[in-house]
Amino acid sequence: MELREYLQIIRKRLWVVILITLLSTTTSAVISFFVLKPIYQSNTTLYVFKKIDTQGGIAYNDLLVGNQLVKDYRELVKSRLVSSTVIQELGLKDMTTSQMAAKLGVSLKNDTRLIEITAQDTDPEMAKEIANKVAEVFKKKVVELMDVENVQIIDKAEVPLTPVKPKKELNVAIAAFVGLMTGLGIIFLIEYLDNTIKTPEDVQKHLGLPVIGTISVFPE
Amino acid sequence: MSGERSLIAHTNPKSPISEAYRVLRTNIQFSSVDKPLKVIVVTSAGPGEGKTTTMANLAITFAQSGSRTLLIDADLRKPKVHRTFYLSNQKGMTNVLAQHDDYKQHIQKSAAENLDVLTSGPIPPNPSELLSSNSMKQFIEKVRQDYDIVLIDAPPVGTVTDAAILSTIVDGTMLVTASGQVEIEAAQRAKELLEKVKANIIGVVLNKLSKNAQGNYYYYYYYYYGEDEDKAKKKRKKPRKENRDGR
Repeated sequence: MELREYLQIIRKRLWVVILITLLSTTTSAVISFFVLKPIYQSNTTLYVFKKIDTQGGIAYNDLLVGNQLVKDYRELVKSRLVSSTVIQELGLKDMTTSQMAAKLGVSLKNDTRLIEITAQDTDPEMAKEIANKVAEVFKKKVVELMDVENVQIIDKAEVPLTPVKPKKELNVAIAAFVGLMTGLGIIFLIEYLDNTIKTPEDVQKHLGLPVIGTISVFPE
Repeated sequence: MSGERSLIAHTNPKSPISEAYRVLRTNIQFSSVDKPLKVIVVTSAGPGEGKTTTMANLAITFAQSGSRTLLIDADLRKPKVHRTFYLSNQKGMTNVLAQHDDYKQHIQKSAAENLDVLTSGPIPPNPSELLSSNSMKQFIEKVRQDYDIVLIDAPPVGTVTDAAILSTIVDGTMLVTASGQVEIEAAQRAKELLEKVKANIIGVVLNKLSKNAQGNYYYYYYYYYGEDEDKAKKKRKKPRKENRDGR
């Protein structure tokens, strides 16, 4: 098929594409703006002093080691030990350790040796509380359990002002794109399944009869 | 479709669609050189493909060119020609066939000059027998003498045998096919049914071609020539001047 034929097919059933795109965009917008609860994220930054056996400055290896270590720290933060302590100290009775762990994240900050602990919650105040408490507990436990000399908290968590989730604009954009693609898929499927005679070429191809006239649809 | 709007060749002869009918007329006139096609049956694979409208406009177009034209409604099951032309259907072809009336007494004049219409008349219980009768053959011979072109509206060839019967006693058969409506298999079956009785199939009129199907050459062609000059220039740049009335 030629490009022009594709364009014709699209133009013929453009309303299907528009309808589906609008539908999916609207649905996504309604869900993002009215249904999903906004989630706030608060973060703390920590610096972990750890003896590294190389001498003289920071080698590239150190960063690799740092990457490796941050995985260890992440597991520690998400461990039942830390989670349960945080739950206890914050007095969150109906939260399980795995629910708590799901709220937490640990990452290395911008290729430095600073690590960042994030906490997400529907309540911005609670997100801050959790982040600070986790940092506190982590600071204590990491010194106890791992080969770490000291941990400094650089940034304490603050109450976040804007939610990180849902990403409304992104959701709507994705829905619009998916709707567009679905619509296009549907009209091409319809076209593919449509085995009617449409063009003079079809007549010649399938009937082997000459086309002696073509009459277009009467104008409204 | 019936009524004013369907007779576009009469009400609006300058429209692009009327031009398309004129092209169809020319194609019919030139499709047979040795033996001119005088009596033509118009049929389709299924119902609702625009057979009657196509035929009515084609008849008007023939009449406009000065040919003495007769349009016969041989769809004795669901006759529609009288409604298209706002004519009475008290008497018609069935009276000619069954009672051997002189067909001239049932001819009605249409709004278009040179165009006579013979409506179906009362619906008979046995249309196929009537159409295959000897009186039908004699009747066709008579009108062949009296007119330059005779167009016969037949029922869909896919549903009843009438069109196949008629196509054996006329010069040519034209198949009206509605774009995007008839399945390929149905159209192929219609063609086979006509070929089986050795009908002379002149060709296919592709009807109801949508504006979206602009990709084909034919459509552009008609559209261009039917458009007003300045509008047409905007659509396509084609500096050549050709006879725009298409005659």
